[in-house]
Amino acid sequence: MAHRLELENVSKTYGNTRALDSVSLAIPSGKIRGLVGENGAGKSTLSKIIAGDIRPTSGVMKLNGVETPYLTPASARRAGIAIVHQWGDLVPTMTVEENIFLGSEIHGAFGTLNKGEMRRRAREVLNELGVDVDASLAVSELSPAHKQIVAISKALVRQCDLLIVDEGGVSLDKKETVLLHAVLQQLRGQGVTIIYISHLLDDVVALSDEITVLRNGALVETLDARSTTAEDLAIAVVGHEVRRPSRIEETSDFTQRRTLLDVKGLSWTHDAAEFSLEVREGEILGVTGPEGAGKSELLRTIFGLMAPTRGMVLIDGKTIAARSPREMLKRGVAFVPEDRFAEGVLLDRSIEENISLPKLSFEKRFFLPTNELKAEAIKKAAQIKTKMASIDSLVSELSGGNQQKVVVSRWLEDSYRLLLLDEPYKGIDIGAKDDINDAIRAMASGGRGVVVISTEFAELIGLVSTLLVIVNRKIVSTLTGPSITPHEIVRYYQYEVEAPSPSFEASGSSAMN
Amino acid sequence: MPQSFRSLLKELDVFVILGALLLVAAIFKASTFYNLSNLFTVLELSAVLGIATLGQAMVLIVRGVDVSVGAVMGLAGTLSAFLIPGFGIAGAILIPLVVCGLIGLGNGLLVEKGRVPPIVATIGMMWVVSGLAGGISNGRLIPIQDEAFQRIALGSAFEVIPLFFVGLVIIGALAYFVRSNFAIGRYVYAIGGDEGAAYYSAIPVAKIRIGVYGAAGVLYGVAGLLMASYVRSGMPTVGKGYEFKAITAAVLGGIALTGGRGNIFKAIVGAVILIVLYGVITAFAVSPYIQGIIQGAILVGAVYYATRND
Amino acid sequence: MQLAMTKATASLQRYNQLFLLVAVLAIATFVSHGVFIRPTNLILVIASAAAFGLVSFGQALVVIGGGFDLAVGSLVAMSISAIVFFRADYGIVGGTVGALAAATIAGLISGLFVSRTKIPPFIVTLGMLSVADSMSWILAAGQPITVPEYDDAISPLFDGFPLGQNIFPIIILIAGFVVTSLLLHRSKWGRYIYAIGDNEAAAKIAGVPVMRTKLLCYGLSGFLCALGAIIYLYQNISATPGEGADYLLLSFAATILGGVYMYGGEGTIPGVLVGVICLASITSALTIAGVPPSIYQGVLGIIVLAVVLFQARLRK
Repeated sequence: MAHRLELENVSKTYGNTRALDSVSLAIPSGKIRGLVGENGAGKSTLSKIIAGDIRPTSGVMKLNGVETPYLTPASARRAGIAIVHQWGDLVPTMTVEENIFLGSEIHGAFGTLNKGEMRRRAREVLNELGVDVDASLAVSELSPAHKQIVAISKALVRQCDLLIVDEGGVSLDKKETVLLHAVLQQLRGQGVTIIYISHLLDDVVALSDEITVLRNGALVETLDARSTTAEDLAIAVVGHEVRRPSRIEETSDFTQRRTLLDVKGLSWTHDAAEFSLEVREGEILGVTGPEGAGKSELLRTIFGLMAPTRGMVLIDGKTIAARSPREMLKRGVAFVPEDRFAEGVLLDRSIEENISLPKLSFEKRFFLPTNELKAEAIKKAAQIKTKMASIDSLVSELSGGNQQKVVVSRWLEDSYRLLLLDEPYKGIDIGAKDDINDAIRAMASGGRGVVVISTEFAELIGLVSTLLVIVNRKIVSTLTGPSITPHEIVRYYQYEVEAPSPSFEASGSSAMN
Repeated sequence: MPQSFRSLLKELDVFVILGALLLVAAIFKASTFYNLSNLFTVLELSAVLGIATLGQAMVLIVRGVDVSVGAVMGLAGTLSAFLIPGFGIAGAILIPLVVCGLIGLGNGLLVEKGRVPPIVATIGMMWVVSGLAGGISNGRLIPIQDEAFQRIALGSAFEVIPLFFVGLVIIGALAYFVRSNFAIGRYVYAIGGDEGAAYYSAIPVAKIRIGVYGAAGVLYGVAGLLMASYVRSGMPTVGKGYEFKAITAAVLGGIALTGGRGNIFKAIVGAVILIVLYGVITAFAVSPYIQGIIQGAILVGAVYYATRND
Repeated sequence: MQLAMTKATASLQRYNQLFLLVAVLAIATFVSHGVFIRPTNLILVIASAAAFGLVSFGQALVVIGGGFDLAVGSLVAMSISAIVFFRADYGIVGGTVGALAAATIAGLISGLFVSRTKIPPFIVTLGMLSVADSMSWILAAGQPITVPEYDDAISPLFDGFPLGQNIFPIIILIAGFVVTSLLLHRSKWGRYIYAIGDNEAAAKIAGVPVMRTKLLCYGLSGFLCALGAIIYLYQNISATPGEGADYLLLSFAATILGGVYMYGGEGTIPGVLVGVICLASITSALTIAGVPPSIYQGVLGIIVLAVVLFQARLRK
């Protein structure tokens, strides 16, 4: 029997970047293929090519054994291929039934909508999937799992038999994940081929028949899920045994140092999820976990970008009640956001303007001390080895890695004692990652504290003294010293192991767990 | 079932406000407000604003805004007055509506293809259109002598309900029917609600958005023709301030400025509320100059109320 | 080839204000059969630009900071009425101070709403437009306005000079230009404005005092509207209440022609000055050529749309 989908040497290049490097794979009909890899490994590029959103630069695609020209969204749809991006394909203000049939409505007489039939079919599809959802509810009122299932139903209604589920399972709790898996297995039983992309390695192992691992745009291997464990996958994803350098200061060395950041019972929601953690002088605290787990929200609530519902944040032992970015900056706490385009850089301003901005924000004088600012900016840019034509070039002219360096270099001075970084390694080259890590280490050895969030835990393993693993808005594990290994980390990369108590405490300097 | 009563109340909010206003008028100014002539005028002006608001609401739903309403209304009336001698009443109605539709399409193209912010695009178009209207009328009023045309404003069904209002009801019903029973109705809301999701559903976003602006233009044209009949002349400035009123009415009626949400029927009721409010204010002999302050306060207040939870 | 194209577009962007000015001056001269380019006419042109030029500088600050001020026209009208209103009890000095204060406060109120609520700037200033318009009628008690005091006081000072009565407006225009230029290009506030206009979220995370900056922009815009009103009364002596809608159109057109990007984050005050002069030149040329004023609005609208579309092209 012909494979449902075959790719032969498919590549995709953007300018100088190779997003996909000669990937070849074959997926049989009616099977679930897991797809794993780090951020930037090429998973989303691959799935977009299959769904027709982008065209490959080279390579051959075959559907059911027949070679096909590169797909467009329309032709992919006709070929029965659909991609479900969590619930980004749904219009939150419209109902379940309206969303399921959006773009593929059932018509009645004279081109009017046959609402009765659509309601009936919607109920039918949802029932077939074993789900009980009221089709007249607005999508915004549904739980994340149900939203995903509605998104899947939408694909099904379009006669889809090759379904790509992108980051399925994230932001779902145990019950919801079980539900989602049941739905997907049900579909497999009906002959639908599924590509399941996820960071939750345990999920992927449990659900898939085979698993394809991507790294740096290339296909590493395809494993049989039955003989693979999540730990094996973690190593395959990262590519090597990531060993911990011995020169990293271990947690026990910090107990004598001053506490820079003390978070007690902090929460931004009204459910049980709460966070407590500590960062001491000279300490680098890592935070990892699958996407959507709440890591960003934690840092943003600490920094004053999100409103807390309860809990306290103390800097240098002093409670700060009304937090705002300006207030935190005055206390020497700085934040590097996840999305540098949305919240990091001023693209159409010069590098110097970008770097000087925070200093300028607290400048007392009216006029710009231009020479001062320029000298400072040049110094800071050099500290982190930013590659630029001149300090007056526009930030938009820089590569991603250098843009990120511009953002980080703002804070490379003594007055900032605590630096919070949210996914600083996203979409940047290896050299830039190293330079940023060097800067972080320099900060720490200068007695300052750093908190780094990253899903690329390989970077963190070689950097941090303590690593928090956050899954579904709970700190499920605090790793220190030799236990910071991919095996250990990935052990917790799944839906809840068990319901933790509401105030699950994780202190960077307490005894190991 | 207090919960569902509260949500029912929330659904009917516009009617509650309208009812309250009418009650106030009944209690304090019964004779001034509740006489046949005044009610007739209120219904007429409600119809004009209601039709204009319908157009504005559609544009708001696709995440846009249209400040060319007043100018297009003025052009419709001016053009119509200008054309009556040569083209008769049929031509004087059809041609301006076509022109207004084209202007609307122009707005749509600027926003969709030109990537111009809607506020800037429609402001620019507003000036072009008022320049056009001014040019046609040479800065003066063009009186409309045609009896048939004049009678539209004076005409009524059952002696009490102005033809204008009948027109509003028909247009409103038609709009509602299309919105509920045709895919295009859903697509318009989808584009405003989440444009990305609309693209993924293979909805022709560009064409629909441009079309919405075009249809809105036609509606403004209808409102302008009605006003021309009412003032019995083609006046470029007849629609002055209508864009403001239309936006206020739409927001009052629950249309979200961020798009994708709102009931067009309630938007029309929002227009009725505004006209009734003006009528009540006039009945209280409040200085007409205060109107602007009240209008501004209502608009800001309504938007504040709508956005406070975003 | 790619590189050459980007370099060409970059220099086009940098110098397009100059190209524009030269082009406009050339066309104006042509259309007016040479009358336009006479020195006496040029001075008149710049003086006529003074009132709306000041308003345009204020609008530019607001737009570069990412907002819109739709109320400027009404604020000018309100200021004119405020002068009359306060003059009754406090003389022309009181009238002047009162108007400056009123307009500035109105601007600050707009700025407050924009920075403290999620109401979009165009709605806030649309509301202010309505309120200010009302106020301009109320303060003038619906009566026509005559304010000869500015002319009486200032004109004699320049009696000896040729075209002496145009010197005052030009001085004020230059003063406004210098102050706003220094603010935007040489002070920390200017950097804040550009930062907020380019990426408000990033500016906030970098500690920029967003609320204070917005208050400054809208407040200054109000102040400049009042200043424009004073110039207007100096030049025209009389006015009808509520007159001033033109200033909105002119200020937008001048900022757009001046290279200010409608989404914020880009534009210069010198550029806006060029835009102002271009507009004044176009008006002058059209008037000399005998084109009726109603057409003028239409022409301006077309120019504005054309420039905005061109801007969008360049950005791709």
